[in-house]
Amino acid sequence: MGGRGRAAGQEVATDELVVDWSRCAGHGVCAAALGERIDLDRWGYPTGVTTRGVPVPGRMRDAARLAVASCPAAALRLRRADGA
Amino acid sequence: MTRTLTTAPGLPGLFLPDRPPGQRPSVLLAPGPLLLTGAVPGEAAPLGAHRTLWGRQPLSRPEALITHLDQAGVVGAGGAGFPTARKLASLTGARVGLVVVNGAEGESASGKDGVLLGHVPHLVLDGAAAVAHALGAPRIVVRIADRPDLAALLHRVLAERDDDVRFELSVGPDSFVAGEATAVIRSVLGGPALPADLGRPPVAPARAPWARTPVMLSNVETFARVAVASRGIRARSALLSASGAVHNPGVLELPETWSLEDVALSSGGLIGGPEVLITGGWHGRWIPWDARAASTALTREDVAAAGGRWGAGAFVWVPGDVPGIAALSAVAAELARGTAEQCGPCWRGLPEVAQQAALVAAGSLPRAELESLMAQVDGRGICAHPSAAVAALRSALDLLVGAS
Repeated sequence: MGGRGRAAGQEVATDELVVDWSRCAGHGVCAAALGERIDLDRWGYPTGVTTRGVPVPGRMRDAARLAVASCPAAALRLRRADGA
Repeated sequence: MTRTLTTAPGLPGLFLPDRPPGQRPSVLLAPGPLLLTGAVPGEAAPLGAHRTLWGRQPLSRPEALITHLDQAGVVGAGGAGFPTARKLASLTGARVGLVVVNGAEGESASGKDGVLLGHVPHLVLDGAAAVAHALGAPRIVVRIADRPDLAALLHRVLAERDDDVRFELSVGPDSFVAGEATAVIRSVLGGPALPADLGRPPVAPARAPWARTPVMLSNVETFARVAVASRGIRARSALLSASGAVHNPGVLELPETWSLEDVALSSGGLIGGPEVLITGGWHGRWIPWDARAASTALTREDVAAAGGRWGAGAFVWVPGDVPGIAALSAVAAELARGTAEQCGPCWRGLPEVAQQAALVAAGSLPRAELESLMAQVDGRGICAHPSAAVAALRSALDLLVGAS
């Protein structure tokens, strides 16, 4: 799971942002917290996150943690990319 | 065979403009060569007759059963086609607490599981007993949709069993998504009959983190094939549900070497001149009904090579007098109705996809616009429904309006 073929010079992704679609209610708080990675689709659900996990570079980690902590539906999680 | 239809045929269970829902393929049309050997349409074989034909179910260690299943080529018959030997191997020694026989069959184009349970219930239960014994599972739950006649029959049948394992019957809602593996497991364990999250990354449904023990769930037909294979029999057959523009919608078991044209003929023949065949049910693939399709043999591989998908063996001939756009709209609406309303992109997206697909089929919306909408549905749910629905509608559009 690790690596994900990131180009040389980029930060190593150590965490993955994952969504539980059955919880997500489209509040949109995550897009405000992590605008660099997340947009909202036509219904207000976040783009840029998947059920399988999307790598989050180290420089976005704090914003990602904020997005996870502030999700009113507890639909987001940050998971270590090495599966730990 | 007698003609059973007096009105114009439709699509099974689906509404089309100006005609009632088509007949669902719920009856057995004829005895079959393997699973349905000697079956009498409309009658369940009692335990005595079953044992005269098949003998007692041999019980073996997992290694022996896995070898038999591997040699017979048994795969999951609920749609995915995953090798059952590999599934059993992955669960061997895993303290499986429960075996689930999934007969929920919520799709209106499929009737094979109900037909197997209604005619050869003990063959299905034999397969479940073999699996439970091999895995050391103490409990088997047979899951069906809300059909009182079948439930009454199975209560009688289960009372006949003398296995060293506990059999139970579980009745769930008759909806498309209620038959999905995680929905069935969740419901059998006391939750709602809705698909459940399998963690991130997803694990196999058998190892759902919210289940108390690993669960071995397979389709009704799979267990019947396990029962046959466990007796050292390597013979194969094709079990299909035929509906739409056929005189006698129903279920057939045929040799795999027969063709889709033979399926049509065995279902009383085609009505009118259908030009489209939906393979694999509503989650399946639409292919032109031409000489190539007609000569296709009855295996997963042959149907896939012809551009189709076997899925759970549901084949629907679209009546020739039904415009493609009407058929597409009806199926798209059924897929939208099929949402469990849990995941936003699915329950909000599929109705919009259905609307836009009709517009694309009518030529009043560019396909690219629909594709961008479908990309916002595809993969964005906890079960396979949104992805499978999008894939099916793409194949319908490829056929009806071209791949542009």
